[in-house]
Amino acid sequence: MSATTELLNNNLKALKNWRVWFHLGMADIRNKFARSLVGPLWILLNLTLWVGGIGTVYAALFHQEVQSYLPFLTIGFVVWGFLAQTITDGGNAFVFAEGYIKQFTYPKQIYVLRVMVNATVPLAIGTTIFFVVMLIFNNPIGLGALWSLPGLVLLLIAAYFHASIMAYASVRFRDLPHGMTSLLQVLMFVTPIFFPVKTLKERGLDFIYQLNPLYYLIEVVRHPLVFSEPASMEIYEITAGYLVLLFVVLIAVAKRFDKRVVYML
Amino acid sequence: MNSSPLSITVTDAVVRFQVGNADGQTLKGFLASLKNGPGGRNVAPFVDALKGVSVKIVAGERVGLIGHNGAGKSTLLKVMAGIYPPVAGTAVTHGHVCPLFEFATGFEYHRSGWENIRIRGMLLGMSPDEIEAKLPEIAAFSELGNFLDYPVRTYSTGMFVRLAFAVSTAVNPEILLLDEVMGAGDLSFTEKANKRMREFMDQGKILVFSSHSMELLTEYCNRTIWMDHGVIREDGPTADVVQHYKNSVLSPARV
Repeated sequence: MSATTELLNNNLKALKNWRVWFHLGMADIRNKFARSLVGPLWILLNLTLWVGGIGTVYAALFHQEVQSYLPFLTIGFVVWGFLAQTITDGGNAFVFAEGYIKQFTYPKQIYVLRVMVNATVPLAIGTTIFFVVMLIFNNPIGLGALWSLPGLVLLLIAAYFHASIMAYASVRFRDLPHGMTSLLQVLMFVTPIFFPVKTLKERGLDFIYQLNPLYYLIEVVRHPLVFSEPASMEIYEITAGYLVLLFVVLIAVAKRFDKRVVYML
Repeated sequence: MNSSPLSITVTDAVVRFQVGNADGQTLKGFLASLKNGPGGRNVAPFVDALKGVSVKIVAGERVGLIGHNGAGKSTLLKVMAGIYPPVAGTAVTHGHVCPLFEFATGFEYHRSGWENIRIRGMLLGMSPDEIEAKLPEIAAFSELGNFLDYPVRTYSTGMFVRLAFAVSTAVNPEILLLDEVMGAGDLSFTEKANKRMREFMDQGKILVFSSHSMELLTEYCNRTIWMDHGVIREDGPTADVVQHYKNSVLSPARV
């Protein structure tokens, strides 16, 4: 069995054992809010406050209508949060699971999937808030919004690849999750989340989003939801290309590190 | 469960640990090693925990592992469990393996004993329904009582052992790999654990366990492997191997 086939088999085996990673991921969420009064409701409160506060101020700052700006900001920020969390937490997926990896024979990928569960809960809650915001402002939602579903699939795959790459690489380089946290903080403000992409275009700063793969991953979900129509073809093409690139990198990294992870922990 | 006969086959297995220089773990250390080139201070030394070990264990065998600390007993168990992939050689195991190693790791410290039973059960291959069905039995065997409602960070080492042992043996494994766990429970629990081990062995499954207790080895194992500095020093009937080991440890001219 070639190393690549074995890796793919391990990934499939991990996916099939969804009960294990789903349970671990949900336990993490409960754990995070243990002994707090409202529990995971904090995710909802945080997001609502954040979007309400920042949204109204920034709408004025960027001369946007609150009615269209708030939904745009909400969904962009929520997807961004998902991407950022899967990248940084992905980096800790194997490191934090050391006790399990050294004792149990499950494919390591379940610990990456656990991180995915962890990050998907805020994504789901955030998307709900987006729909509430749309309703409050009486914005129309058409059937075209369903285009966000294939977008979501692309987003999930990309996030899984990101998290897996980070999981392997961070076992070798323990600085990586910290470094990514810093980098993502900066990236958040240059990625078109707070401002529409046309403000960059108007100033001839197109390269800022064109070189940012995370922008495309946001757009495949955000555009259909906000405008009830598919994103432009170019967005899908670049996203697909980026996924292929991630896959190649992941296979290379996993081939090199998969068998060594347990020794490096 | 697959019908092929239970077996563990380890062939010329080599396990290598990178030790010493932790600089290699950081980005800074890595960059420094690029700058200094190989041969600089960052070249990490290796320790071969296993230096070409071959073992074949078949259904019904109860195998003991002895040897001084660091001889490679735990490493060999982990190779058998499929946790350490050998860097050279192969390890093939047929049968549902249930490892029980380094208790007190692999717990969710802030979760209750109940929750940890569920998680461990799942990681050992039980379905949620199976676990729920076996919860009372596991709880009873562990004798932890009300402590199961508390977060496991409040547990003592002995309590971790009770919990881990209760779960691991409840999954009804075909191959049980134990790493010096029997010593840590108190007297009454050790009695219970012994009883369960005997039941397990009567079913013709494979048991491999490492221990420093010659009494336990003599009682349980028909075969014993003496590990010494990452190689097998002797592999044979327990009575002989234990005797030779004792002689070697007690004699002044020991290796």
